[in-house]
Amino acid sequence: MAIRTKPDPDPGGKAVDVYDPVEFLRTLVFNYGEELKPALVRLLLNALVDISHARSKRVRDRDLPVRIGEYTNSLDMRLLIIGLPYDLHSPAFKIIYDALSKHPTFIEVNSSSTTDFNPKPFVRYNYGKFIWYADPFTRGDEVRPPREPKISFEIRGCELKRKTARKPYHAPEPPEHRAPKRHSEKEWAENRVHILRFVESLKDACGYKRLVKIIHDNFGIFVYEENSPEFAQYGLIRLSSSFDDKPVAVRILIQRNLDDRLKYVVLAHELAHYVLHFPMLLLSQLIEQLSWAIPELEQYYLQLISTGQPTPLEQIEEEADDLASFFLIPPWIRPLKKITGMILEGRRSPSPEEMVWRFLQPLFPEDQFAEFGWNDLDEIRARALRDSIRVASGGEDAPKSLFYRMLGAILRVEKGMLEEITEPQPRADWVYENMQQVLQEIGNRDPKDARSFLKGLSDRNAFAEGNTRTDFAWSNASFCRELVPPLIWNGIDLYPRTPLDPALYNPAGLAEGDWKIRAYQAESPAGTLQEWREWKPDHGLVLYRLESWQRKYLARL
Amino acid sequence: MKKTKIQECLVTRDNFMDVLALDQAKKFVRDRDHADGLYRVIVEVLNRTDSRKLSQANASSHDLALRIPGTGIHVRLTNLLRDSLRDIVLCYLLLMGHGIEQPALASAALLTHLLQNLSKLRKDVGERCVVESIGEVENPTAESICTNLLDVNCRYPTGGCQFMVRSAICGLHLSATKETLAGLESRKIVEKILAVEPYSWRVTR
Repeated sequence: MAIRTKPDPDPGGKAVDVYDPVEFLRTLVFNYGEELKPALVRLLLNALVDISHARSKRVRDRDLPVRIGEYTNSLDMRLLIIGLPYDLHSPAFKIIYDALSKHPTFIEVNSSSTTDFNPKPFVRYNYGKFIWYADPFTRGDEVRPPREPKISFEIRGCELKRKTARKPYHAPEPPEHRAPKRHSEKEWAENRVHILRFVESLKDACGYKRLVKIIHDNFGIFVYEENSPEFAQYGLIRLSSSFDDKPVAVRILIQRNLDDRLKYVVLAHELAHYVLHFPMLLLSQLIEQLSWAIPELEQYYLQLISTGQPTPLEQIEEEADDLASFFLIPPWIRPLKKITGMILEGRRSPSPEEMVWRFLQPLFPEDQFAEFGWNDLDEIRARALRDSIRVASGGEDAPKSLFYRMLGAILRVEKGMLEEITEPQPRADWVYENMQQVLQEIGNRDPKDARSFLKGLSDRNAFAEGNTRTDFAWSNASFCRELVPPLIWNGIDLYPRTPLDPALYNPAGLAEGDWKIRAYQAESPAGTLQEWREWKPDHGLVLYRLESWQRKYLARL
Repeated sequence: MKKTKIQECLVTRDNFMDVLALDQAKKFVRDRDHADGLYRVIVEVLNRTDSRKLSQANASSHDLALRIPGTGIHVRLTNLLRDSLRDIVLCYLLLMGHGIEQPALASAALLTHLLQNLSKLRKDVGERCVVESIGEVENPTAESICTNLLDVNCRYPTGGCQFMVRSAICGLHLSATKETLAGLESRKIVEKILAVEPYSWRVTR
């Protein structure tokens, strides 16, 4: 414990001692009474005088601040607590204990966390000198410390430095596995086993930067932070283009304008997508490319994943949240009810919901309960209960933030909705199977025939859901991708698309700039958007802009 | 003429305090419900300016995105807008001092009245800092307001405050704090909560 004296005096002109925060104190506990404080102070000062006159230099020569605080326990007993340094030399402690324990209100000696009773220093014995602390606005000569003939007090002010919040993260065992940077289904199947083993081995949340490094070095996935204004998501997982069935690179984009604690949650969510939905991502990539010639394919796929209650897309997101929740509260601790049953606080065990809420506090920014003590227990219980009811009730009015989303996921998992962590099975697998069948079907047809087949399928599905096919006609913009309708367009039907990339000398992808066809075949000439539209007026355009890391990379070339 | 820096950014419930640099809110709005309320107020304020547009993240066929829970907005952030948002945060803190559990539901008239009062405050005589401290400290007595300000970095170092001492440190002593509060009371900007000492203060409604 360090105590230093501030260079500037307080408003009362007194020197000020600044105390570093301490975690624990050795405490002497008393039954509270109106007249107790002065009596205890007298006994304590006598003990300090004894210490100052002790024969042993080891007892005499020391710095010994004494604190006082109050606490009401679960039996509604009001207690007065004298706090001494945790590592106080035993003979010195014995002198104080012998003096104070004589008092009839004395209950016990204990070690207590300082968060529980908020102790404040009131007197300090410093190598033979006695220091009495007074409030900052009183002048030194106006302070009346207790009258003790053998003591001459120096009057000072006192300041307690606030505790800095401890980081809730711990370094994990780094996995030994090193995955390649390009992923096929075979590599993914192996990689996901290692990722799941890593999740199982987590003792605690591991923190954003560590997770980025592990994901990159061990699991072969690139992570970039994205800050362009058009990136209106928290995170994104994307595959590189593949025109010839070669393995693809996987990249995760994270919203830069987030606190690191939230980035950790988002990264865990996107990694969970990789573990659970990589085949779906590969399929989506294929659909994207086939849709340049057969745009109805994308329309049909969007229709499949966005209809139903809940929609497959919502299910996919929930699954990723569920797995991501193990990065926040690790598997060894689950289910929480096996732990809460062993805890007794204030004559009852906390509920698993309350425990989840409490574990999540330090992992999310902003709330006061990131660091809490027993004093707050009632409020913590009330808020945990209220938040879990809110999350469970859902609906439009439910609070919407990442915290509530993850709280919902952990409570879902706690109720056993996720199978064993080692073998999580996506619930929206039927979309994948359905699309595989459709792809097989259209593979045997010529493009014109395939398009009318898909139109029929979409119409039937839309009719069953009470929609029309055109409800899914244009999803015109997503991150770094934009669909521009053809010049000649009837407003309803879909037209083949010309896939355009910004030309290298227009890396920002400015609309008026130069673009070239996205293909690995012979280099296409670059042209302006207008030129491309005039070239094929009955074609739509799909514009692929560069992500900010790609722009930076190009700028360096 | 000083060039106004315009920054375009995405603001969400999870990041608005950081992105809009609302340090006061970060420090004092330490409750998720109050943060929700403050975000609603800020979205409402931005709604009335041209600086906001709703962000839309559409479904795409070829990637999986973690969408923003709730409302995300794009803001064209200017220094002027940043300052007015800081005023909103201060109003929110001051309303919390009135014991209004959900300041987000406070009427627009009340908010306008508070903002008008804030515009009357002078930074060069410490009035603004004193009123800010009323919203920041737990028990706003003259002593705790003084402790909150004295000997810490000046909040408006370019404001030419008469109480600023050596390298932008606040030197507002207790007597000056009491006089400032009395002056603000006479102008009906603040009022006493209790009629007996130690007086606690709040802003007038």
